[in-house]
Amino acid sequence: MYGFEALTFNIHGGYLEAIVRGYRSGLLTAADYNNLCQCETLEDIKMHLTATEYGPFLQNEASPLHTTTIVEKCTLKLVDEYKHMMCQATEPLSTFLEYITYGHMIDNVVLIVTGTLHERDVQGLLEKCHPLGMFESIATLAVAQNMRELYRLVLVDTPLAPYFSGYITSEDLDDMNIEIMRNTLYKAYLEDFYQFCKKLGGATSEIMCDLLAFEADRRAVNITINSIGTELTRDDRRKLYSNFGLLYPYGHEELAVCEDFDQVRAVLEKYPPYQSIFSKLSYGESQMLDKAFYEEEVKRLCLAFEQQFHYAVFFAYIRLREQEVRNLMWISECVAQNQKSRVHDSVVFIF
Amino acid sequence: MQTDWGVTKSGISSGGLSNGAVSRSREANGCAAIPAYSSDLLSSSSSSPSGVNCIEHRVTRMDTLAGVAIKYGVEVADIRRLNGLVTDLQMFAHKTLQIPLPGKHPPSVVMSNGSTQNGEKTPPRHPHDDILGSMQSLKLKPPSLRVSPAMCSLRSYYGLAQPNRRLSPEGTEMTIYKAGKPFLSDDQTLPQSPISDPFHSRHRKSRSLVNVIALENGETTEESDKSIRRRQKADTEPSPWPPEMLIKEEVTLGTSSGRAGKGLAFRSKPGSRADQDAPRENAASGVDAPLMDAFVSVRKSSSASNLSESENSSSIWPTSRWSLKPDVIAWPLLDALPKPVNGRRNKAALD
Repeated sequence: MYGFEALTFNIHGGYLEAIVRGYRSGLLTAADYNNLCQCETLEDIKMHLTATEYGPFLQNEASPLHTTTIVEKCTLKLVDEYKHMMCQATEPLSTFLEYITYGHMIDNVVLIVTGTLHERDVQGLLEKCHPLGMFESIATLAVAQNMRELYRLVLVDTPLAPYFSGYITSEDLDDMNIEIMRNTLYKAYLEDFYQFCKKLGGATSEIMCDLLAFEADRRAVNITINSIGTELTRDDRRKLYSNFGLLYPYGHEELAVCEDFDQVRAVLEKYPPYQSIFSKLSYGESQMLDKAFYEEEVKRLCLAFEQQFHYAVFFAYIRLREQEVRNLMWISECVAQNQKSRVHDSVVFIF
Repeated sequence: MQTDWGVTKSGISSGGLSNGAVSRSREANGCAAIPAYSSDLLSSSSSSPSGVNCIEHRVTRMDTLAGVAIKYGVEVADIRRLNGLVTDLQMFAHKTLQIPLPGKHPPSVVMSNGSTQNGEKTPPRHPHDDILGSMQSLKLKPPSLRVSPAMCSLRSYYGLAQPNRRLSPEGTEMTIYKAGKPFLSDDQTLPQSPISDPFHSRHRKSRSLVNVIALENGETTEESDKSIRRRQKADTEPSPWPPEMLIKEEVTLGTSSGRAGKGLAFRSKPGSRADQDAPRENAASGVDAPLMDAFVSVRKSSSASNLSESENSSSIWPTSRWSLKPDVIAWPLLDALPKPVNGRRNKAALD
C-alpha cells in the first residue's frame, strides 16, 4: 500500500533511517572541500579531516602520511557505519543492504582473478579489495584455473552464485573472459537488484528503480564509449546492456551502432534527463563525461533524502560516501603532488 | 560504476608487451599496437595530434589511479580506457599501467607523498605573497639532486657543468605558473657563456614561434609586440638559461599550445612589472635582499640579473618549440619524472 508507510515503517526501519540521516549530515560540505583544496600538505588535510567526522579514524595515523592511507581510513569509516546498520537491520532491509555490496563483491572477485592471472601476490590483492565486498572464501579464488572451477569452488557459496549460472564454461580465465564475466555478473546483479526493489514496492521501489535505471543507462553509455574502436561486435555490445532503464530498448539499439563519441551524444540528447549531462561537454570531448555523470548521480542521490520511510536513503548514503572518498582521494593527490590547478577537475560537491 | 570494454585492448597490449617489460623499444613496439585503438578513442575524445606515446608505470601498493593520472598529467578516463579498468581498485591487478602521452595537463614533478618533504613545506610566508609562495615551494627541493643519465647527456651537450649544485625546486608547475616574479629568476646566473649563443638563437627562433602561437591562440598582436619588446630588452643580457629548464618547461607546461597560450596571456604581468620598476636594479635588489637570502639557502647560484625576468617569461616560448619534438625530449625527461629534474624558473604568472 503505497502512501501509508508512515504507519508501519518506523517499527522496523525507524531507528536505522534516523541513523543514516545522521550519517548523511556528516558528509563534507562545499566549505569543507574549499578548506581542503587550499591545504598545502597532506598534514594539513589530515588536520582538517580530524576536525570532521573522520577524526577518530585519522588522528592516530603517523606522519608521514600517504594518500592511500587517507583513502583507506576514510573507507573504513564507511565500512564501520555500514556494519553498524547491518547489525541492526531486519528483513527486508538487511537483504537490501546486502544487495548494495554485491557490486563491490564482483569487483573484488575480478580483482583477485585478474591479479592472479598477472601473477600478482595474492596477499597484496586481498589487502586492496574493497572491504564492503569481502566474503569468507575470497582467498580461494586464486586457486581457480577456469570459470567452472571458479564457480564450483568459491562462487557457488556466495550471493553471486545465481548471477553466474548463465556463464559457466570451461574456458580458461584470461583477460577477455574475465571482462566478459565481469560484465555478465554486473548486468545480472543490476537486474536482480531492480527486481528486488520492485517487489518491495512503495517509495523504495519508485526511488530505487529510478536510481538503478540511471545506473544502467550510465553503464550502457560507458560500455559504448569504451568499446568504440575495439573488436566488440554490435551484437555483443547489445548483449551487455541491461534490460531496463530509460534507454531500454530503443536507446540501446541506437547506442549499439555508435562509432564515436559524437554519435553517442546525439543518441543521448534525445532523452531530456540526459541532455543536461551532455550539454556540459563541448563537442568531441569525453574526458569530463565521468565527472558529468558523477554530478548527475549525486544530484539524484541527494533527492532521495527528500522523502521519508523508504530504503533508498541507505543506498544513496553509501553512494554519496563513496563519492566523498573519491573526492578526498583526488584532493589529497593534487595536494601531495602540488598540482592544485587540477583539483577542481574531479571534485563533485555534494552539498 | 563504470563498465569498460577495454579488455580487447588490454588483451592485445598484454600480447604486445610481456609483463614487466620496461625497455623503451618494447614499449614502443607494444604501444604501436595500442595506438590503433587508443588513437581511435583519443581522436574521438580529444583533438590530440598523432604521436600517442605510451609510458609504462609500475604499479605499487601505494599508488592510486588519481595519483598516477595527476603525476603524468593525463586524465583518469584515458588511463582507464587504455588499461581496461573499470574501478580504481582494478589497477592493482596489473603490474604496469600504460599511460597515454602526451597528457592534457602538465605532469607533476614532485611526489611528496608520504615523504618528509611534505613536512618541510610549512607555509609561514605563504599567505603574503605569490613570490613567497613560490619560494616556499622551492624549499621543497632537497639540496642534493639526482640527475638522470639523460639529463647528464643533455648537460654535456650544452656544455654545462655537472649539476651538483643544481638548485631548483622540484617545485612544480605551480611555481612556474605563479606570478613570474623577477626575483626568482634573478639568481639564476650560471657561468656558462658557451651556451648563450645557442640559447640566444633559440630565443630568437622562439620569438617567431611565439608570434605564431600567439596568433594561433587568438592573442592580440599587441601582446606579442609587447612580448617582442620585452624579449629584445632581455636579449641584450647574456642569458645563462640552462636549456634543461626549457625542456623542463616543455615537459611541465605540456605539449599543448594551449598552455603556451595561457603563458602568453600572462606575459603582460611580468611585463608590467618590468615597467613598474623604474630603477629595476634598485627596487629589485632592495626587495630581493630578504628573498635572496632565502633563495641562497635553497639555490646555490650566485648573482642575479634583474632584467632576466622577462627572459623567464620568454623562456616559456621555447617550450612550444621544444614541444615539436616531444619524442626526443619528453621521453628521457619523463623517465626522470620521479627524480627532480632541474631548475625551473618562475614563469609568467598564470591564474
